[in-house]
Amino acid sequence: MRALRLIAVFLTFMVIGTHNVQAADMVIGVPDWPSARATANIIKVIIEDRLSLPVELREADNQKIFEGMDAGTIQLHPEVWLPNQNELYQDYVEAKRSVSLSPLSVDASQGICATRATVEIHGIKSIQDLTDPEKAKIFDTDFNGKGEMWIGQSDWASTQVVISRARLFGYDRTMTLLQGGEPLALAAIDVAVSIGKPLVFYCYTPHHVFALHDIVRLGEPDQDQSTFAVASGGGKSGGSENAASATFGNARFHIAYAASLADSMPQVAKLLRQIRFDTDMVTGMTYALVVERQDPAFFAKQWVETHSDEIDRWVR
Amino acid sequence: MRFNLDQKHGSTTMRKFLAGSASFALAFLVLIGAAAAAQFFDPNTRKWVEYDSSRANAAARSPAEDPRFRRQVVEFRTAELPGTIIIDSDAKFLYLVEPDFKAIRYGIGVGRDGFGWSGIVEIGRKAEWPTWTPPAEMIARDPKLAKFANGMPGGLENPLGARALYLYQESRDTIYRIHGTNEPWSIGLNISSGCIRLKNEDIEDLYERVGIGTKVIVIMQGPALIKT
Repeated sequence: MRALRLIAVFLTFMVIGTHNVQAADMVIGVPDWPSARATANIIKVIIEDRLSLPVELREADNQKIFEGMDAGTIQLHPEVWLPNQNELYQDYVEAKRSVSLSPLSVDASQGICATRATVEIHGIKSIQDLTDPEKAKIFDTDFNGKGEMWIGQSDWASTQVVISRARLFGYDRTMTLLQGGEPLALAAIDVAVSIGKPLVFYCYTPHHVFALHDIVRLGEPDQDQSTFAVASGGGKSGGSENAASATFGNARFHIAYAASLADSMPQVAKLLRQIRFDTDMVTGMTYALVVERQDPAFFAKQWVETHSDEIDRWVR
Repeated sequence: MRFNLDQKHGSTTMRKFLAGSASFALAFLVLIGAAAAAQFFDPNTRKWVEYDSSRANAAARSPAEDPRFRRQVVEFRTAELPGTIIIDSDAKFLYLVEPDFKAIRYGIGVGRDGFGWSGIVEIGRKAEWPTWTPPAEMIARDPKLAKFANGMPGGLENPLGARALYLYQESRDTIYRIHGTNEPWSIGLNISSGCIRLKNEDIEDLYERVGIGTKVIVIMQGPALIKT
């Protein structure tokens, strides 16, 4: 009996050890936001199911994942936001060429949104409406005659873009621009929807809030007229302060992978260049993880099962 | 025992006369607003701060008997977990998130003419019929409170009412509380010294539903934004 137990323990170590060795061949870095957790798990399932390669997930921030792809310890970043992560892109994709970017991307639009009641009951349809002091007053809760709106977290690169745009369009004079944690802003949206209170706020897609509530993006003037130098934009904290424009246009994210995969695992590199997520897909993923609190690994298995047609095309 | 957080310049007789009447309650607020500066607790400096009361009660508008402020289950779509408390000091509602996109909504009264903070805190302590200890600054402003410097025992005259939930941030007491009241007419109004007050029957109900560690979100609107 003791001998059997020893054999069992030995076999267990063998299995774990073998798995670790194999898993080291393909490591996906996982940043700490929901959509990246979802796509990382989905890509893992696709590679394991369709290409029979073991994949390890490793939590790390953007910088560490790029360093890992450069050093060969991590092979994939599931969601590189541009222009937010322009500095990393320039260092590793353009200069060192140790990281490649899929040519496909998911559009990540940003702007100012409102609840449906704000648009239909209060008639706020564009950000130009916010420049009208009388209209702005419907958002005034602290009795100073100006409305209030959340414009993002103070450490988000996009927040400076929002401020610049508010100045450009003039609603910085009629609205108090509030910076604060996103959970506070999301709770305010929950409350506003529940009681029909008017609310405008910074928003970006993909985001679970669009699946949770009926949210309307406010119209904006032609963005070409608003271009001027400010900090780089984006919904996720990128931190870079490169000169960019005050437009929200062209924000997007790509799968990035170690350039060496093209030689060491060409079938993986080919797959990564053909995976085509879209905004609605990713919004659904974040809703499943954030609102429904599904386990990312369990969710990924189900997602792969229900999207077999798309995946067939990606691995073809 | 007639003086407390919110009515320290009014008499018991006057309070009885005003009870249940929103318009008279407003007049009363103007009276106390003119007579004394309010205070708020600055969580950054962890001090009570004086400010003028010129903003007082511009938004005082909803009497306690308004059916909106009765405890009720409402539709409430959120990504927050059941058991989370969300406080809207502007609309004067406290939500306790329930499963299946529902919430129990309670009417509240909040900071007299300022609140000065929003954020995410947690319930660090609970107490039944809590003792109330007026801050030293409040006693300095109103010497009649000196007899309570070591604490006013819990009871019907105690401004904290039947129950208190003590709000903590990073394991430290913020000095803010969600508590009951000995002035139920004040629900729906902007009167208290930075705390969040419910009718006694409501705080007793909430008290039984939440535990230590409950997440409390105070959103960035209304009195939560007023610091001066």
